[in-house]
Amino acid sequence: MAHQADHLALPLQAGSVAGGQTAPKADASSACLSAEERDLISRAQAGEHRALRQIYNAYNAQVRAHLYRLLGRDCEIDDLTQIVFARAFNALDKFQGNSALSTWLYRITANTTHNLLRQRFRRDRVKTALSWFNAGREAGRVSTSRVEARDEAHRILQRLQPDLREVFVLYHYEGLTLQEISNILGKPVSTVGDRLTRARKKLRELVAA
Amino acid sequence: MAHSGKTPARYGCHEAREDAEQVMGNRASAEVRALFEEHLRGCRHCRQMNRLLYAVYEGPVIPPAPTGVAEEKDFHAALRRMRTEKPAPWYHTLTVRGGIAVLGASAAALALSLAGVTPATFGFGSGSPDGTVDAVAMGSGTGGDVGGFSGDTGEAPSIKHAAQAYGRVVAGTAVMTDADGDGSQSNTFEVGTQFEVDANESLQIGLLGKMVANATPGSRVTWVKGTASLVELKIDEGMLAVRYDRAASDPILQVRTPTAVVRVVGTVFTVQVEEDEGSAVSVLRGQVEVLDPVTNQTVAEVESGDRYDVAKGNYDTVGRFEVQSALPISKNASGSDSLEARIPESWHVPGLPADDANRTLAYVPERSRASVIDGPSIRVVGTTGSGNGGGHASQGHDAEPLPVKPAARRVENDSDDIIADLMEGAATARRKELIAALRNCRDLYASNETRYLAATCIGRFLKQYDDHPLAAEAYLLRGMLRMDYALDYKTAEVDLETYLRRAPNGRQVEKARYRLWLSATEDGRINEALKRARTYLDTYPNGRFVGKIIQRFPELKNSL
Repeated sequence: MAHQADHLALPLQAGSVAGGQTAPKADASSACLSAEERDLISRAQAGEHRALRQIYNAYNAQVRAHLYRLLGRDCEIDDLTQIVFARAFNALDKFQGNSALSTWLYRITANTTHNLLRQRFRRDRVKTALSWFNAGREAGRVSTSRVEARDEAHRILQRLQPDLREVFVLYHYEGLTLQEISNILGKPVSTVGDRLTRARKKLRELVAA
Repeated sequence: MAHSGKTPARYGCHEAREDAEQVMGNRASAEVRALFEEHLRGCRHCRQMNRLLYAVYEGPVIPPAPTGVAEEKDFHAALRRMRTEKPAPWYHTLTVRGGIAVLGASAAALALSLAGVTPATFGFGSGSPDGTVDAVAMGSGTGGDVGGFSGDTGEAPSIKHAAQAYGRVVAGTAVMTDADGDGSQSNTFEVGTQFEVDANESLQIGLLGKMVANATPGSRVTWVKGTASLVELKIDEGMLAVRYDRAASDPILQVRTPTAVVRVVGTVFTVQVEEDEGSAVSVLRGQVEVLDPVTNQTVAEVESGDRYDVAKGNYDTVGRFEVQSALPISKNASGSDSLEARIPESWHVPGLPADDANRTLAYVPERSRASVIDGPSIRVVGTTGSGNGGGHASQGHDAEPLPVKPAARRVENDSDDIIADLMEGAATARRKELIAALRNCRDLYASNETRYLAATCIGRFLKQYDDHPLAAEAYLLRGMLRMDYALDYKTAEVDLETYLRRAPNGRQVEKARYRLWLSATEDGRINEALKRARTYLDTYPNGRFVGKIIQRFPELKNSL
């Protein structure tokens, strides 16, 4: 009988994501998922409403925070969170258990937001540059408080190219390894490392500008 | 790394910027860190830059994820998207010819629409019977599925018009106090109304045209909130049973007790609050969540067949008491004709025989009384539910001393006189059989606990005596009962219209027209309701129900 109100202790911390492995293998599934998780996923794959809810409850904060870090304050975050979970629930049948559920959700989030990030970056390039110029003119006169610094940091991050921003956010904010990011984005580790270096350099330039 | 191993002769802004990231990441040597910090002490610009870079690497402060009702809504929205975003089969991407066919069909539809032919003419689409477009009715279908998100026909909230935001006394006796503390004897009430149910008689109310509730004798219930997104009831004393077949676009229902908030995810559940303010929740169909009233965090999820004791944090199975409490206001999903004293198949009652004939209260295992109700110590029992069946909310515990309530006022009940008319007519016809049949129906109708069964009884009566002149009035009564208890507005309207057709000059024509208006209003078909209201006001400018119509549609006041 499904009595317990307690949700399974699923790995919510990025650091607890099974990492460091090479490309996922079918027989590595047991290393990525606990018995509880496997049971949860099989119940969710069977369409059990309660299992879907458990997955949602366990990973809602992760997905939402990742979207927030990628997009900043955005009125579409609620919608995007729903889309990520809708896609995840629809794709549960295809989930082989070759990665942790959290990694898999990062992948879906990345796929969901990738085009959006690129579209927005292209659309807002002129607007961002202009506001950047205006902000730069005043920067010398105003001392930067903590809150202002955060706002400024957000603006700086939005100026980073989407490909670089994705890697930077996953590495520095989500705490994933290069290998995990490589799995999520479907790019070679060398590409991910290169993007991370370029992201740091670009950020340094933007901060110094 | 700009300075690994060596200290530069001159440590300026360029070097500090190069090292900033390493210092932040604790990867810089003590020597580099000292130079970096020293430079920062003397360079305002680098200090500012460092603060900014630190903010970039620190990342934004993440706002907390929504909890409680907002989280619930998000989850259901994700489930709805899940259904709408189901990937199309691969062959859909290849159907160029199909696309051409769709274009052709669209062109044909356009041509037809220009010619004034609506899709409803061809039997697809769900236009109103009179052909009017009724956007409000969208999404107001009854789902009746676990989780309450089946039957979702759209995102639009199903309560859009202020005329729907009312409750109605279906039957019973209670002291009603409105939000301002004033007493009321009308059978229509608004949010904020408190009910002190008579000590000897239960009270049945309908809310928003979407749910029907049964408050047992001695209950004290308040309708706290009624918006497009949330309906909240509060139980201070007694017992409340609610049937709510929630569709995805319908508001969430919460029942608040002193120690718990019970939220409808499914459709049938019971809430019980003991003297020590401990609550117990039982579910007969679907699933509910029990929330902490202060933090709004989920305390437990309770599924059908289970009873959860909030104070003890343990589970048991539902018993006869809970089933009994929910039966009076239940209905079978297959239709209002099956309003029987049987326990609906959709209810999960552990220990009940599988045989359909034995799905009655008598076969429900009785849990030890102590675990249900600790003698006189129980003060509050709340039940919400939906489904079908029947029962006696106040029976079975009639030995319990119920709190003495102030003298109750009988609220207006617009169906009381019809059965009396039927009896009178039958007496004059001297039809013994017919009288006996009617008497049986009247007995059922007389009690608030069995009144819902009168619809079935009248149905049987009609089958046998449909050709009798009295039968027309019986249609009116059955329509009203279907409307009040089954919330089956469409079927009810068929009965009401049958009455009007068969007795165009009958004594109850005005009431039938009023009920037709009420049905459309509570069903959310506002265009139709407005049309019917105008017809009523034109026909009966000084009618008995003018006040009720104007109450819900104040804009029609000018048409009087």
